[in-house]
Amino acid sequence: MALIETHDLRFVYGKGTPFEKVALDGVNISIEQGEFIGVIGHTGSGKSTLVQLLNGLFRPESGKIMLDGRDIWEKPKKIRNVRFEVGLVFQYPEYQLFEETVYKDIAFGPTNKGIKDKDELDRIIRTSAEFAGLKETLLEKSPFDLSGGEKRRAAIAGVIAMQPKVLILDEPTAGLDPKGRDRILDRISAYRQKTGSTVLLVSHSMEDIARVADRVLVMNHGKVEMFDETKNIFKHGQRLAEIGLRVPQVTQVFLELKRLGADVRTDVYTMDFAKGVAMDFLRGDKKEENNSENSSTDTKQETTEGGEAE
Amino acid sequence: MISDITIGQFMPGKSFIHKLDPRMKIILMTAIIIFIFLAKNLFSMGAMVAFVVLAILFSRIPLKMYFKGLKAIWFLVFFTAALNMLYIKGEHVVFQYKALTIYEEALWQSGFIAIRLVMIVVISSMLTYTTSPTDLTAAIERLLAPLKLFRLPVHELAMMMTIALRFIPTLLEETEKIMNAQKARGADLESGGVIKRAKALIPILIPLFISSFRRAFELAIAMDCRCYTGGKGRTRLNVLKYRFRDIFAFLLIGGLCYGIIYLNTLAPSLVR
Repeated sequence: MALIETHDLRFVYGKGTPFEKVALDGVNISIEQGEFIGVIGHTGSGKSTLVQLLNGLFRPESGKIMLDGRDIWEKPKKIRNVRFEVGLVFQYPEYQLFEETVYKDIAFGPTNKGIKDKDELDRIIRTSAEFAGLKETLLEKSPFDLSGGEKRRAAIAGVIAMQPKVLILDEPTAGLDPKGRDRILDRISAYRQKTGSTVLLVSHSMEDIARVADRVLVMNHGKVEMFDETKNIFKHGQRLAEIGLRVPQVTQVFLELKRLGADVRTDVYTMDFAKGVAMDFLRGDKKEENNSENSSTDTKQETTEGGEAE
Repeated sequence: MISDITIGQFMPGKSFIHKLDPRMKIILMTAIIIFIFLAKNLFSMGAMVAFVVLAILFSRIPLKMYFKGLKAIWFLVFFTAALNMLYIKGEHVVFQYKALTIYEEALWQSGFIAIRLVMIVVISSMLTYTTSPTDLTAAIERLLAPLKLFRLPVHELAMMMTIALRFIPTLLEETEKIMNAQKARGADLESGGVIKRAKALIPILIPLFISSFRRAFELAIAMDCRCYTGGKGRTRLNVLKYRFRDIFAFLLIGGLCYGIIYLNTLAPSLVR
């Protein structure tokens, strides 16, 4: 049985007003326990709406959301419990911080959940902070004294602290510098490996998605465009471009190399993998002087870039 | 829903009322509101209601919008009307049950109050629906200009008003976002007693305050970057000018006001 399933999910904004807009229509997806799902789509494609529906913040117009085989809106009064099971980290979550100290802020979620035991609460807060990569010394600081990246990680810790089965992050890396970005993605991957929980990552960055996701959900105009393993998704470069998306930059490089006549694979979508493929290619291919010269400069740039990113 | 709040919303249009000079609109709306209170018998109140209904039609703003504006005050209207009905004493008893006595005078009084409140809200929403915030503040600035003599910073006041109006929708949107974010962390905003509910607002109000300050700083810098130095020596792109239709509207409302006073004399007052 899948952990999350949706059946013909439909959602309309501003029902009955002149501004009525169908945000989601006929969405059927199924997510297994422990999967890492990337969610992509252009602005207004319905991805943020979808994650807020999964978390029970909006009520679907029609259709069902099943969590562990049960309709989350079965008992509308108990919807709060769903929010503890499906933790949602909003876009720019640092703006939700409000407590005097980071420690207290992280405690907000678990306290709401009803965890009263001081020691247990303390343990949860400290492990969540660790998962989010927050140093112990930061816990007693005011959240407003932290740096941008730290604030965001504190906010993520606040959601992890509810110990949700599913963690959903809506563009957790938006507006961060490359270092802060890598740090958050690494932390999320580590969290997922250690706890085995299901993670949904909404992102505009194909690079981020390619790096961490097992499967990718592509949304387009409120409908599911594709939902497949990451490598299969990025094979459809042209279709992705049509709906306002693209394949990762490194994949573009390899597609271009192929077009120029170099015999390389094109299912390359992460830096690490690209490095290997490029090295193999440079060692093995000496036939076409002209092309390989071109491509070797290109790939070299790429590999050095890759090296820096690490 | 929080997005139902319509105060300060501007609905662009091309109606007669939209085109009126905003200064004239403010003056006339004030006059109308005063005369709403001066209408004291069925003739004058009838004339006033008829006028407001006509104005609504002429504004070409969907009726729905007015109802939305009224939604927030239904309770107030009902409450004041009910209180008046219970507490005002008179001579003609209409209804009596144990300690509860309702007089005819009280019925009239509460009816008039309800109608007055509704009309005031309708008229003032009409002003904001048909006037863009920039026009509105330009008008206020001009109307308050004489107060400069008393060293009142009129331009600055007007600018503050524009900014406040401009940020109402932004703040509402932000409130909704923060509410959702805290709900996602299990905040319970819907249940509990008064104190528990008030406490539940803290996680929403603090982030809201902080982001308002942040926005204010950003706005201040943006204004500085465009060399804003306050009202001194500042000129306007569109200088306000009274036109024929403004004079026409002025005469029309003048006639109405005179009519109200005249109609008041035709029958005895029903309210105090």
